[in-house]
Amino acid sequence: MVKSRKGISYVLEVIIAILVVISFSFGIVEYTGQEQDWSEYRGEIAANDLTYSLYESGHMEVFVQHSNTGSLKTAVNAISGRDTEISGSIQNIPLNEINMGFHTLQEDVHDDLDVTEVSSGDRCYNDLEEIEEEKVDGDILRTNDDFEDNYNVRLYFADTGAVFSEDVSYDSLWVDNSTSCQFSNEDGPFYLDEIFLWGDRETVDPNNHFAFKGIENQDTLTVHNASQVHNFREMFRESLNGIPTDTSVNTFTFDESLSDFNVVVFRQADSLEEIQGNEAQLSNYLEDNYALFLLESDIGQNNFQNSFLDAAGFEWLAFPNTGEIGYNDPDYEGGQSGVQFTESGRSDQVLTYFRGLRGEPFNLEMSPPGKIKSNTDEGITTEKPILEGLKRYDSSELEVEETLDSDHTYTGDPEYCERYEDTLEFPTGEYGVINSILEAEGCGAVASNIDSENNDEYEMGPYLIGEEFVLDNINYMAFPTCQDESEDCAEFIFTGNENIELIPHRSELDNVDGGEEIAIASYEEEYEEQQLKVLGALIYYMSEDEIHFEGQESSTDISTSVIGSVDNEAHIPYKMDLRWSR
Amino acid sequence: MRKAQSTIEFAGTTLLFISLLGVLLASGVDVVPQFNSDIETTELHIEAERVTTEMLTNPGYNIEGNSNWHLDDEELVAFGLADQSFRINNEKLNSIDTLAEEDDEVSYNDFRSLVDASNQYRFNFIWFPIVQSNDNFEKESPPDEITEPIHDSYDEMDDVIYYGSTRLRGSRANFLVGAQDGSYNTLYFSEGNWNFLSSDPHRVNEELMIGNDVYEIESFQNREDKPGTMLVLRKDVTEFGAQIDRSDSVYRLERYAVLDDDSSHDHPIRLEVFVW
Repeated sequence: MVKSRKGISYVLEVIIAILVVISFSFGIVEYTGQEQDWSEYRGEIAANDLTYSLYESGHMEVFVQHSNTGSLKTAVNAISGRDTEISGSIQNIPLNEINMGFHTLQEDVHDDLDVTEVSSGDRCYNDLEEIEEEKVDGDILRTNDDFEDNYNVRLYFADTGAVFSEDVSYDSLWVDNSTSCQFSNEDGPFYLDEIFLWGDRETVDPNNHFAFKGIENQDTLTVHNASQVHNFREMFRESLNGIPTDTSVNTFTFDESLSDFNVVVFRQADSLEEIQGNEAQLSNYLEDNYALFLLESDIGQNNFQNSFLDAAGFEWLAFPNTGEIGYNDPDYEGGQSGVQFTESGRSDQVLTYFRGLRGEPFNLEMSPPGKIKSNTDEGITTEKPILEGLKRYDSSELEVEETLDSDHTYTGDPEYCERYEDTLEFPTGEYGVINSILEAEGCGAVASNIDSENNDEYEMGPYLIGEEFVLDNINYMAFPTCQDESEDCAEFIFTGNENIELIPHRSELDNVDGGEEIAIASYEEEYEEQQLKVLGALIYYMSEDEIHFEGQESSTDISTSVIGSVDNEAHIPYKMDLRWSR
Repeated sequence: MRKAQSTIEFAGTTLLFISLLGVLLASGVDVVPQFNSDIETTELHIEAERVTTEMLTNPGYNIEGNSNWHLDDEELVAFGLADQSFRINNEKLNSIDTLAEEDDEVSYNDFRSLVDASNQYRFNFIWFPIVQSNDNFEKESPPDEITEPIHDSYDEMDDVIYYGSTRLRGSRANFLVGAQDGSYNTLYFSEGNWNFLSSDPHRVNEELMIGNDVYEIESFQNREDKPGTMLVLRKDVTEFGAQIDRSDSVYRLERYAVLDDDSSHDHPIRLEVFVW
């Protein structure tokens, strides 16, 4: 009996030992090999090294400066020698090919200028060889008009086939200035929509830039005033921080399509009137593009009210009870003032581009475009706008201070020691205000409540001294007891940004679903150099885009990133993300 | 007390256990070579990455603690080619030679013992100067300083000619880049000036003599909307290491850095690494 029990115990022991060994050995027998993909490991090392080398040698900066993704791809492919392709994106670089459209007021449109065929007896009859050479069809036309007398310069027109359209028969223009019937490269041909100088810089006669808008019925010429547009174009010809830019400018009226423009510019309050009736066309355009409005600093509230800008969500600083807000400085009437950029990302970005255009902030003075405010979620004033002036609004007009009556209806609520109540006039309306003395181990702090819904519920508050709140989009801070220990006194002080906002800006438009940006700045007949530069910087900021480019192969999981900068007058950082494939 | 006794159960179970171990061993043994070779590959890759990274991030030191080890023939205690991370010092690159006939050169054997390599290596250093040619002019109206080539092939080129320049080993290399039927494929070269009167056209893979050195034309930029704006040259700088043993598994790894040379502009350099 003992024997067999012993024997069984051996068996049991061995079975257990076998089980133990088997479970340990699973590790070895199950070995299926490494999962490490060494080719991807090598690929990652190479990709990181090559990205860094292109950056360190300075070539990456040149590629980015010129938005030259093609060269970047060719360089990677050539240097890696393994048919390596990359695709990816570059962020934070302004679009360097911007198409700008300047709206032209009706008063600047001249659509009734006479033109006629060149015939015998005319000063250049049979002497227009340069034009004859380029002409494809039809006769040569010339101006026949007061403008010609004004500028002492005749214009000639012909069809050179530059514009492929059946509706257009005269697409080219030449300017015959003092060279008499001879035309150098500067005298033409100017094609449809191009800006030319009507006049001669060499003489004392006046001269002006115009945009050539076309000839109808072979007898009527249309041009748009374009002197100011020409100044903008000259400013954009400068490179931005060494980044060459290619900006084209055009003029337009609403009977043309806006689809080719990246940015449209409206000038003067009159343009707001001309938008009326064309809101649909403008809204459509704003779904994917942006607009800049340049308005005179003395624009009145009635120009703004009910305009497209009003509908977009901008606000005029005027309130039902207190009227239009004034300025702190009694001598200031809304003219030019010194400026400061703020600490917001947007302001910083515009400042960077401004410096990139060799702008000097301390030499910049601007007027506000009337009393227009961005009016974003923050409240009627923007804490850190793109650009603010050194002059301030008179915020005392927005303040409320009043002694309240005792509340005789108060019967003694265990929460309060005492209550005072009155109706106070706020800038935006009348609201009931209560000062209550809170019970907390004896009568203590005073708090104010406001009946903003006018339903006796006083749901706004209780606000202790120094607490902030927003009522009707205005930022206030409460000071119950009015800083002089009188518990029945309620005081509310404006806490928004008092500095005048020089460039109101909205990136959400109330009247356009998914609309892009609108910025507003002041209009000047003639802009100073620094002012043109800040407008240029603003436009570059609004045009910032991401450049995407694709390689020719499908990508692997290998990706690298570069954060670099284009350094010149300013430091413009960029981020590049690359995906690699072999 | 009864002593333990050998019984039939005992013998049987012992045998069973031994046979189990045998089976496991047999199946395990197959796995071991695979495991071994995986370990070898892992070690090889990790070493290759370590060795090349050290080369590209360390300046190297001789026994006196001097990092300019290429200037004298003192013994090295640490090997490296880069005074700054990923910038290969050209003079140090010239001071390594597989067979090291001179005392002030580092031989392959020296290298292997300095970096503690257990594998064999071969390195190819290939330099890729990039010429950015973003400026352009129309044929027959070049800027004042440029004199166009007189050559049949130049006359046949497309209208827009790009130009650019770089400094290579003390020579100022100036280039014109032209296109045939929209594809930029020809360059004209002039050393030190922009007078291309007697310059000949060159195409991809042709050789070009710049200063005292021979370069090859590697590639022209023809992509997207900016063709003609760049040109890539190639120069094989040096080879270093053992003869490749094809009988073993040879892995190829690439590293990149910038060649740091006072008499040249900065351009990328490719380090081809063969390791086995």
